[in-house]
Amino acid sequence: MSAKPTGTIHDLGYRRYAGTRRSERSRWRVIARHQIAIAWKTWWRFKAPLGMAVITMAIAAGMMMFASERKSSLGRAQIFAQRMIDTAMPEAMIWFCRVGFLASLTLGATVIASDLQSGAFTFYFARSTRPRHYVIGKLIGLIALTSLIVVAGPLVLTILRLGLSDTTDELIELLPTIPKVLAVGALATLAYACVPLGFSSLLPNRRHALALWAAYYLIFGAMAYALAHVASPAIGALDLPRAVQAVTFHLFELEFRERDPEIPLDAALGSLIGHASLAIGLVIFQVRRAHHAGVGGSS
Amino acid sequence: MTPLLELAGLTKTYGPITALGGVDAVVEGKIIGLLGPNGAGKSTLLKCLLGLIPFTGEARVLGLSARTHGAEIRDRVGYMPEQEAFLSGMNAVEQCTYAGELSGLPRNEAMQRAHAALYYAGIEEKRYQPIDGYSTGLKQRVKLAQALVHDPELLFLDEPTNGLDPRSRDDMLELIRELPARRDCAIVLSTHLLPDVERVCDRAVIMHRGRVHFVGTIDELRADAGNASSLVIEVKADAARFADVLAAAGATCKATSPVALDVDLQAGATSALVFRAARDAGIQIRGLAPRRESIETAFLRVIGTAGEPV
Amino acid sequence: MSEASASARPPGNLVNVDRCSKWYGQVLGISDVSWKLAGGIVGLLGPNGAGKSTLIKLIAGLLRPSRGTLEVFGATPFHSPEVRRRIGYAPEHEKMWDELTAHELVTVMAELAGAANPRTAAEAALAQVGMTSAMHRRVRGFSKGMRQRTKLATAIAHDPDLLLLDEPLTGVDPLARIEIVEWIRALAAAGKTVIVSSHVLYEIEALTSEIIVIHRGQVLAEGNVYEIRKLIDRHPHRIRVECDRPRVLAAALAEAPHVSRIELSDRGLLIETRDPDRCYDLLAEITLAKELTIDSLASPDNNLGAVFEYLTSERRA
Repeated sequence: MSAKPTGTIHDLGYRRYAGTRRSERSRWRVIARHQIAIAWKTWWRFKAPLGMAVITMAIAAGMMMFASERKSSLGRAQIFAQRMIDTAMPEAMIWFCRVGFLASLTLGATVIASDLQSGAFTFYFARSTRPRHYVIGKLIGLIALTSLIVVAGPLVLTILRLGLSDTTDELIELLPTIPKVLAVGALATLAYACVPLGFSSLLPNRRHALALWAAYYLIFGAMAYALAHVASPAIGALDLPRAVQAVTFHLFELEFRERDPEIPLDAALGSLIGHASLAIGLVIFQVRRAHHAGVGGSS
Repeated sequence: MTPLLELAGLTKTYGPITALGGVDAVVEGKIIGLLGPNGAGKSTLLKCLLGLIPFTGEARVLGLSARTHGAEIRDRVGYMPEQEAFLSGMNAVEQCTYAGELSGLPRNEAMQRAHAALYYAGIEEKRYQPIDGYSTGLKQRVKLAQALVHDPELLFLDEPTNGLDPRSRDDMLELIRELPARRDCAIVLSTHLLPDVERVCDRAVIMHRGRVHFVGTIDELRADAGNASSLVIEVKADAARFADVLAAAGATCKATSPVALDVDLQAGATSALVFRAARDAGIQIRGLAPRRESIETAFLRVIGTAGEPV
Repeated sequence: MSEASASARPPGNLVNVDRCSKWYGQVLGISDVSWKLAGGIVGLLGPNGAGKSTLIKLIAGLLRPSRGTLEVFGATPFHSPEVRRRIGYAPEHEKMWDELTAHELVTVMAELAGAANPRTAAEAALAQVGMTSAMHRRVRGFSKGMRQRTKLATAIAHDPDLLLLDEPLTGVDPLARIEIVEWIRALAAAGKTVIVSSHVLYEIEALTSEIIVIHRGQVLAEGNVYEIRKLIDRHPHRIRVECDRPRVLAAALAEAPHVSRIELSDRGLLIETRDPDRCYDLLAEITLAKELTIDSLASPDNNLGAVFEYLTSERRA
């Protein structure tokens, strides 16, 4: 005998959230993750510069491999081939920096200005997010993205160099290049993540902030570098890509080309760290200042 | 039951300017209207209650001190701002999910609640399109959804019907009115539109020049004209003539428009008098109600003076 | 309520719109609109995007019609300084120069509009809107209410005959609202014509009973709101009654053929009728015959909001 048929209507009413809430301290992670997700969404924000960095890396790696293969058959020209293998990464560094600049245009230079313009500060700070979570989250997100461009490529090239060593002794001798490239990459990340973020917090208009950063980097940088030719070379450190290049050359013991000013290591380090610190300080100041202004309305 | 808000001696000064001058109030209820002219201190009050600025005195929201537990208050309170509060380049679902995560919800929970909140706010497929292209009405709804996503116990709504056309305004007010029942939360509604307050709120808090002048139910706010013999009558036409007719019958009348009049009947007279007089004079009565003070008049009375522009 | 002043008005129609259409590329602004305005205060209503702003900008001379004619004071306002001098326009969005003080701003606008004595005119206008004490402060620090007042001052500084006010009361606190409504009424009484566009229906109700409703780019209804309401009387009309013996009333009403629905509650009843005119008379009869005491009688369909709702929701051709 079959059972009596039944029917149910489910109560789709509202249920309060009974779970735990993530602690306040983890907010920065949410913001950083969000930063990265937004960057990844479109083809032009991050994927394009990343592609360019990959191409740069591929070209440099290709040259290294080519030189390595032909080394034995070149006779006296071997020296040049060996030189190419040794210097590929440091020479490529400035190209990674240029890609890093392009990435900064779409990533970091408009972040805070865009938030100010669209009312995002109200969105963030009417909740339990504090200004420091906001700043840390944005920074970490940007640093993660930027380092993929200016650290990952050079690192791969460095490891490739190690792989192209002729003997194990050479390999061991070259091991210190890994921490060196990481240091250079870290400094480049400071330049291309923190400084544009600083500029984006200066002006409440996205386009203006972007223009200001581009102008500072390109025009002011070019002027400083040009000045370094005629006055003290240390001034050239104010041109960010050249400062990174200088650190790379010093660490990897390359010689500067004749017509290029030899920017001293301490000037380059000082410039990069100084720029980044100033930028971060500016960001903290601006965010603190604006954080409760957006909440509460006009009346 | 913990009152929603408990304020004692709440004071906030910006240099020589006193934005809040010793506010004392205990606020309970379901939907509370926060009223006051510009410069009354409403936005400063809100910032203090959310724990965003320092102040002297006591302020408790849902039993938590705004001075020490600001972040926790902001987790349990939803805020719907007057101005734009969006991130560009995202759609409504992403925004609301992000909002939920920023209030401490795990990602999946946040996304589920984001969808539920958007349904409540009446946004259907549009939720997958970037917010930058939304109309004003839709933007207001998304703001409401953002305020609801993290399961708050109390909502602050700041001019929620701003810029909405009459139909959308009605919809929004209905959404607001149903919130306490459907979402188990209380609401503080800050607005300049007194009829909205009349329609939706059960209590009111009136502020002026940094002080609270009134806390209580809407009924308490309105001084009842007292008795069933003070009436407002609406007629199909000829209000002035009807006023004369009623006056002849012993009532005090004043025509306020071609179709409406205020009537004070003599002691002992009932509305039957009105109907009889109307029938005899060939007037059609279309409306009759006890004359109650309008919210506007009550508001002005409580405030006391006409303020200068602030 | 709309005792439009009959004093010195220019002969003929002030605003004459004849089969006027305006497109922005693909987007429709208004379509085949014909309208004549002689004077007084008129409320311009319509859902968002219906074409109100377009119509106002056409009248203000900021746009040129794509088709048809639009004349103000007998001439086209577009590119016509003489006509525009007689028009004062207060737009909805204020992109004001925040750096100027109110006084400076109104003076400049008055000069641009061709006022004879810009500074005096500005001061008089600011005094009229109650901004004298604040006029030397920068606009940037103003509250919404003060911005609205400043906007109104710029619109009247050059003493125009026609005022176009787009959402003049948005964001204005209740105290200021009363003052501004009074001020607009005073202007109309002094002979100026005012077109007010607003979403907040009770504000329009406080100002005038002449309205024009724009929907989907066309004029849906125009004229006296009470008359329009009567025209709608033909359709199902709800009446709410609270009395001492609702079921007695209900039983008596149920016999009438024009009553289509009666809802009972503990306090009274809600009647739906196809012939409100008859129904109200019937109600009065029953009240007296059965000696009922009516506590309240009201129709939710009797106000501007309901008229508007009905007009814009009905599927018309």
